[in-house]
Amino acid sequence: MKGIVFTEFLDMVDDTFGIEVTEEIIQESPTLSTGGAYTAVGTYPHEEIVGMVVALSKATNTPVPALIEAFGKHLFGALAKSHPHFLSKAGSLFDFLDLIEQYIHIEVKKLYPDAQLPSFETLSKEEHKMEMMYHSERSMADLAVGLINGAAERFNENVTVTLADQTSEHNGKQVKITIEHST
Amino acid sequence: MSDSDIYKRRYERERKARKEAEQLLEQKSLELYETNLAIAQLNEQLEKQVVDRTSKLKEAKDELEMIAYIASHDLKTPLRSISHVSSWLEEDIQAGDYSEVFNYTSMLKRRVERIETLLNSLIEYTNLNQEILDHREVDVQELVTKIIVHEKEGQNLDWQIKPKLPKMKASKVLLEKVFKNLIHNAIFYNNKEDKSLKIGFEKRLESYLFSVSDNGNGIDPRFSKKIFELFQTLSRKDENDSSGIGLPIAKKIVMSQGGDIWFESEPQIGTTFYFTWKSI
Repeated sequence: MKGIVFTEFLDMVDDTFGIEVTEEIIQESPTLSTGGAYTAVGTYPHEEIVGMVVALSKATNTPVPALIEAFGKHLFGALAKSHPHFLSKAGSLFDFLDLIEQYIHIEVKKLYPDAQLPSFETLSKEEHKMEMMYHSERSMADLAVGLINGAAERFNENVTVTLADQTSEHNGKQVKITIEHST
Repeated sequence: MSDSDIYKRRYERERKARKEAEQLLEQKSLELYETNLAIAQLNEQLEKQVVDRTSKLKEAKDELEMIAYIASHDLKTPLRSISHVSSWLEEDIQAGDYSEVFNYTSMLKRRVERIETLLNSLIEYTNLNQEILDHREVDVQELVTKIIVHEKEGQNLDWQIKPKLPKMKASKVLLEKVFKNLIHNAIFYNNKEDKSLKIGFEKRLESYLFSVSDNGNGIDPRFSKKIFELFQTLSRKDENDSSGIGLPIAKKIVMSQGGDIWFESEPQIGTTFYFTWKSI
């Protein structure tokens, strides 16, 4: 997983819970390959961020999905800052979400060929409702929800995002995401 | 854990991350440099290809213009002749004089055959570019022997091939055309009673050198370039069936295979044509 996810996560923990909590989760997480030293331009095992999220959940008594969703919103802000050109191509939230698979992920793969990205398939798109299918071996649909909420805020749109796991094992690898404009 | 411990650990992690980022930057810079180098090399190759293709296009265009000019220029003579002879025939028939009719119709027939020969030669010349180049092992000794036996038919010819010609990888079709043209000329243009023909060969580092020698009347060195030009014959065109295309074809083929063609001649003694053929 790209280093920016790790650096932004630790920044968010610093800002939201304080540096002592950051220190605690690093110490409490299962073996971290770099001892918690991450650079945004590096690549690190996905399991390490999962470990730190679980440690954070324990340290703050907050459910893991809620933490991941909050992080998703924070991460969107960071990505939008470093790659503003992706946003300039869309005039609305739904148009932007369409671009993820058609354009954004393609460009990301050019810059980072080893990036393992989830896929977002647009199932339907109406004026006030959009349905997408999320596919990923990493089961991080909650992060996708947070990113979508961050994008909605950017486009000044109020939306409600709901998830429906499509797998029989409920393993989160294929999830239908419904985004609706709030009345 | 005290604050100073926390900041100490954070500092260490930041330092470690910074070093890793610097390493990655170094690596990416090197990759970028190598990619730029590869792009520059590719660019250079593409530029060369463009120059080469432009040159080939220009050659093809020049050749086309030359063929168009020659076609109109060289065909005019027999056509004009047909027109004149037809007028004479008309006049004689109108006057009731049939004494020259057979002679005139023979002349017309020869001019028409001449035009046909010229047109067929033009087609053969332009089609050279489309020859299927099937490079296989060719027994050149066998190939040349067959050509000589065919070309000398009914004629008194003393011929030899020395040393024995090799087996080599080449387009048989193209090699045969070159030898056929040279051997045909060596026999056809030799007016001597005791004609002789010698085929020679020498293996060079990266090519083969072949020679075709006759004991004919020789060629004036002033015509050394002219004889390789389309439709240039050194005798009157109505004295022979030659189209003047054989040597230009031979030259085109030899040069397309990376070789060269030239001759050495002594008046009344004979001529030797040489050509090289690149080894594959």
